[in-house]
Amino acid sequence: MARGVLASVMLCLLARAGIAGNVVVVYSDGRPSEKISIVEKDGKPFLAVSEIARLLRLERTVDPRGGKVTLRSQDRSVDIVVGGTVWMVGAEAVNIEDAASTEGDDVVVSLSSAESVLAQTFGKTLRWDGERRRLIVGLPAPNVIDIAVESAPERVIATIKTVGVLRYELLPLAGNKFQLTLRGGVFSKQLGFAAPGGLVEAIEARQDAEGAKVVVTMAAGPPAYRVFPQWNPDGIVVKVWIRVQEEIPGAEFRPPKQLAVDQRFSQERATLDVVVVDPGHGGTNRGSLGATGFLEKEFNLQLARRLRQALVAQGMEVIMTRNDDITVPIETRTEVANSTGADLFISLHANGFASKSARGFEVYFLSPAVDEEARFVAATENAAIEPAAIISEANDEVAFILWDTAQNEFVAESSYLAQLVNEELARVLGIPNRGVKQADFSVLTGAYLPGILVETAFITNPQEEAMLRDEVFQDKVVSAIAAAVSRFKQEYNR
Amino acid sequence: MGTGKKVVLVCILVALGAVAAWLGLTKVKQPAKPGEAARPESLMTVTLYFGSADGSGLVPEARDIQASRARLESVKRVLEAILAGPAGNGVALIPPAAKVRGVYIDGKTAYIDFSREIVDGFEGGSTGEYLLVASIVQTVCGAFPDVQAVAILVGGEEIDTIGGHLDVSRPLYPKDWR
Repeated sequence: MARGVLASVMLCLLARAGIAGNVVVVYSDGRPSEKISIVEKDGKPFLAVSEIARLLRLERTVDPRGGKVTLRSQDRSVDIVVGGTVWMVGAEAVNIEDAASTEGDDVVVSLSSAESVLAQTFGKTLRWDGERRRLIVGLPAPNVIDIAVESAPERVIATIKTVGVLRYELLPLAGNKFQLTLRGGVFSKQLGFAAPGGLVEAIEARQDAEGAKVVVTMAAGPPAYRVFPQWNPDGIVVKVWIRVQEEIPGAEFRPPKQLAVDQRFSQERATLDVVVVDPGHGGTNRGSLGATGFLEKEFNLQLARRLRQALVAQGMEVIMTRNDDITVPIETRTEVANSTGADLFISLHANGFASKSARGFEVYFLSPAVDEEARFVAATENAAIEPAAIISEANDEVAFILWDTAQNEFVAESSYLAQLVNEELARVLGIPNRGVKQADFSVLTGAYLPGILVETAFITNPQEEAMLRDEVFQDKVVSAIAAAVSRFKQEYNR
Repeated sequence: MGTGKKVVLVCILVALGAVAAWLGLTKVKQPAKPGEAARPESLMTVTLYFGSADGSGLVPEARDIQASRARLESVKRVLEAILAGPAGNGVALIPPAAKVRGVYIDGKTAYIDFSREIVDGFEGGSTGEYLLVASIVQTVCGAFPDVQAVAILVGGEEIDTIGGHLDVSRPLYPKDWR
């Protein structure tokens, strides 16, 4: 009884004095989402003026005598007067609902009072979504506009329509699920899609700070899937099927309307036999430094030599970009891949970070060049002229764009190889899986073949450094990569 | 002049110098004249991005920066605030010895010229390098809305890569580095 009364009194006091709470800030201009704290007074959200200035990118001037804060952008300004219900917009007085008050060494204003004044003065929108307790900066511009699901007994194809090409990441989840993250993706509000039946139990759309997430749950058994980025129209096609040995329907599947590329490139290789193994760093470039001194360049070379053995044992030809502790420029590594007509490029690394607590493995594939202008030019040129003719003209810029576009052809393949390697590593390593990621890698830019980069574990973490030194661990990594290459090859050679 | 006299003279000069320096310093520290006090300094509250401890992403940190009328100077101050490191639980990503040599803006791209130490002092893997680049791109484009891309220079020259993993030879857009 007494406790109940005390609790009610406390609640009353809190309601009067203001409750601080964390809310999510969503930016419509692509800035990463974040959490900030607001103060609630009588159920109304109040925000510090310094935060408003930061979110809306306004200059803030604090009157040294106190009682006034000015927000300014170019020649427009708002004077926020503490305690009063009149603010000055330039020389004009404006009535507001709730008075600003001092909170610590900052001034807080109610969001409902600030909203309209800020919009009128600076043309900037700050909207409070009370239901979801989030603050929206600017007008949200959704870029994930539709998911169309096409179901058949043996496979499900989900076509995700986007505005612009978004980078994606893949992460297997427990319970026959996987997650596709569209980095910086914002789901359209009206987004709806048919519930799939048969092998896919559910497709869920989740919005969070990283972007738009699509989680696919299989009805039974682990999922097999392939992801095909698309250009013009932009989007991502996900093909999902049940993994049955020897049956890989993803191999023949080609997404529609892929941007045309030089035919010479696509038809050159019929089978997959030659793999470039690239031990990262070397010589004067030692890479990351281990927690107790193990050098990344040493690990990379040890692992590469083992991987070469394993791949040769599978009947493949292996070309190493270095087989000693020597400095090899990045462009030389790419050149090795291009000049030898190799079919796959695998760059081996150990990860490193400023904080020792970072752990786990991750597999990267090259990002497509998504420069809007280059895409437009490439699309136009491709439509008008034979691509081969352009390259022979030695017009550097156009040749570069075509080269760039040609690489895009390999994104789907690189992404799939990365996914297979990630799957195999997850099976044996027993360290956190950081997923399949996409980034612009120097060593893979300008390489005309599917390529991936494996960050095996964090050499800067003492436990993982010990693993990296261990031959048994190295063998696990090697057999996982070799198994993935073998799976990839089976599909490729069909 | 004997050696003893020389020593005495040097001592006097040193003492005079010290007094002059002290006077100079105290003069700077003195409160501004009443006329100047009426013009308070303008602050920009910006979001600086550092790394999360597990290397999984960026951690925002709000910071007050004294705004300069010259925009390039403001950009430089924001970058120097990142170089000075986090106050919260974020992880510093840029090698501590690196300096900002200069900032140039051409159209919508900010060119940031770092000293050699950003390359020579870098010791991370793909994760560390990705977050380093992302923190610069997100901080600068976030604080200055008219800057839409960042190009990284080292010692005044374009470079291919900072740590040997990622390609930074072209302008970098915030949507690709988050």
